[in-house]
Amino acid sequence: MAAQYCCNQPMLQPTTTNTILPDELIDDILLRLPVRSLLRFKSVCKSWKTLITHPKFANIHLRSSTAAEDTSMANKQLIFLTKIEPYVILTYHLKQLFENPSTCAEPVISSFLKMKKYGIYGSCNGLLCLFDRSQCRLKLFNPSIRVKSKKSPQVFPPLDWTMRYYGFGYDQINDKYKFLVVLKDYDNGETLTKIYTFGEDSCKTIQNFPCNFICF
Amino acid sequence: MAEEKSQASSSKMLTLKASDGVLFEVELNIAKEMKTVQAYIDDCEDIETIPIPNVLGKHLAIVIEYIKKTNEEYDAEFEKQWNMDDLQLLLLAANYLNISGLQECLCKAIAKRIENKSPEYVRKVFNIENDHSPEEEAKLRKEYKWAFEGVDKD
Repeated sequence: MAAQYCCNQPMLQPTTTNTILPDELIDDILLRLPVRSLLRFKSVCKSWKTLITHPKFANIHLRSSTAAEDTSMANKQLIFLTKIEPYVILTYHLKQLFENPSTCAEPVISSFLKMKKYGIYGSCNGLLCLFDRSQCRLKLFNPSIRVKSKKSPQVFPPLDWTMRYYGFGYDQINDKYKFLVVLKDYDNGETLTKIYTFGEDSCKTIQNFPCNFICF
Repeated sequence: MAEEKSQASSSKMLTLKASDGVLFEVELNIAKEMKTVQAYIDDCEDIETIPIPNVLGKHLAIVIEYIKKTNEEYDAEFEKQWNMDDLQLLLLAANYLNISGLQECLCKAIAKRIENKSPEYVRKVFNIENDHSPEEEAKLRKEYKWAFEGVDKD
């Protein structure tokens, strides 16, 4: 990644104080900062705010922080949604848990209104997929920046079906996040497979989805 | 590094001349780690003294030492000796000379040092003028209030 930003043009004689780094080197430094610092540094100046807010920057930041070569677990987190008062999302940094197993780790707490209704039904690229079981609606939550999406349309009528299998993932080709659920009606043995693409108005049904599971 | 090169090329010496005139005699295989220098050699095979107009002798010495000694242990301790100003000048040198390992090491070090600092501190470090309006800045601080908690005092 560093190679992309190398500048091979001769520069003016640098002064020993008041150094000004070129943009590509500032980028290289910013990409190595944790999200929390980046959000704080939006206040530094307008151009930093523009850079940090840009989706392209977020993508590069995500790719470099989830790179296979990073064995330090520096960016891995363990996340819980408490099912008792107060209903919050607790985030533990994996590195801390492994480095000092005998000490109590401090979680970061984040929450939003009406968290009680939700369960965590998947995670991908730092996003949590939350599902409201009573209304059968989905919501995405990014605990790193503490931003939640609007609710999705109803995925399926809650009373008619039981959720057997589900999954949340990222469609790289279309740059969309999707939630898939295999439903069963225990009264008549019917199965139904639905897929929801976040951002759309409705769910799609998948016909003939292979689901011959032994324990089904 | 030295083991990969043939006997003949590893014993050839080259002179690098820093911006303040300080001369450094280095082995060819050390100099070649600086891709900018490698390109220079490729262009003019007979060259013996290569000018490095953007880097002070003080920093070129540090860069050469880094190339000779770099390994995981050395890299971990390397950045601790330098103040923020030197780190930035070394980064400019590593970038100009095109030494990707050193550039990465320095970027990581600078990032680590500013990670828990305030925007005011960061502006001073990078000589950046605050062009946010007071209202804009207040809005950002309010929106990310939690990101400002526990920040090092300036």
